[in-house]
Amino acid sequence: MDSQLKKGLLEGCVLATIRDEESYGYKIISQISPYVEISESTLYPILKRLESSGAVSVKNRLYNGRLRKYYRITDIGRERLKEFYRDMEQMLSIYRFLQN
Amino acid sequence: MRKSTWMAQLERALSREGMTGTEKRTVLNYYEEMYQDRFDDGASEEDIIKEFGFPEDVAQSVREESDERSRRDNARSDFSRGDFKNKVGCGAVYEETAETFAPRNYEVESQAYFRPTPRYAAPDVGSVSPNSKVVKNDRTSAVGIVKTVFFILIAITLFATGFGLAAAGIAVIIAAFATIAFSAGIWLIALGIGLMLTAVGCVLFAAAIKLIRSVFKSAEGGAK
Repeated sequence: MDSQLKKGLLEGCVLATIRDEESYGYKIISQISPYVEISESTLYPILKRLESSGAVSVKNRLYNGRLRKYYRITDIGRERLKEFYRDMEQMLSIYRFLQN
Repeated sequence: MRKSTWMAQLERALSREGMTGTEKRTVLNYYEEMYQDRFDDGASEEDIIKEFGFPEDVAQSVREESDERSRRDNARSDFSRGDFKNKVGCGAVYEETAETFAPRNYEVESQAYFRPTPRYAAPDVGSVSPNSKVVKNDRTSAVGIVKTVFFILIAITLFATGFGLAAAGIAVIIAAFATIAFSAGIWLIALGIGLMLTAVGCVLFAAAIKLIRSVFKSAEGGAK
């Protein structure tokens, strides 16, 4: 898959995984990887971008005696996700056009 | 490769990419957390390190993302900075304003006009309406010259007074040390007076320097 296209898709995927409840890095990768290739190195910049743009908030929680970062979607993130869904619908119609 | 070796290599690679302490620590904590989560899930150390990839590649991608974010933030701040209404090429930004245009040495009473405000700090340009009344700025007038001379004289006086007081203060301090054998009390008083005189002298001296600088700065501005 084209890297730029993949970047855009992955941001939406990350937001979608934390849409209903907060999550942490490894769990996000586990949920997305069956659908699109993603690694720790790919996820890190996505999470940084989302955090710096205010789309996600981050909290440290104690887990098994160590700190783990949990990511939660914000209102800005929800708006971004809605835009992403609209873009996906548009992509679907373009895909149907290409097929025909 | 062991995890500790990989993390150490990552730390070095991040330093080579110019990462700061906080940013570097954030990346290392991220990979530490990822490693632990995978390990707790049953993956082996070898598999996890293989999955992470080369530390140099990781550091490079972090650096690239950081640069991209900075570029985006700078582009955003360029756009929001200033209240331009019409953007013109060559880096210049023009704004319509109701203020009168003022070339360096003249004040002009005229209507609204375009005043370019280039970001590269080039000198203002513009035009003077043929019907506008021109009043010379007082920086280069006779009053301005008298003002400048007056301030220079004040500065010289302050300079001399400050220098004199500081010298007197130092002399008193030296004399105070000479009396130390006779009376500690007198010594202390003399020392205090000496220090005070020196301090006042230095303050006046500094004020004189500042005044001279500002006078010459405004004289330069008038000449332009």
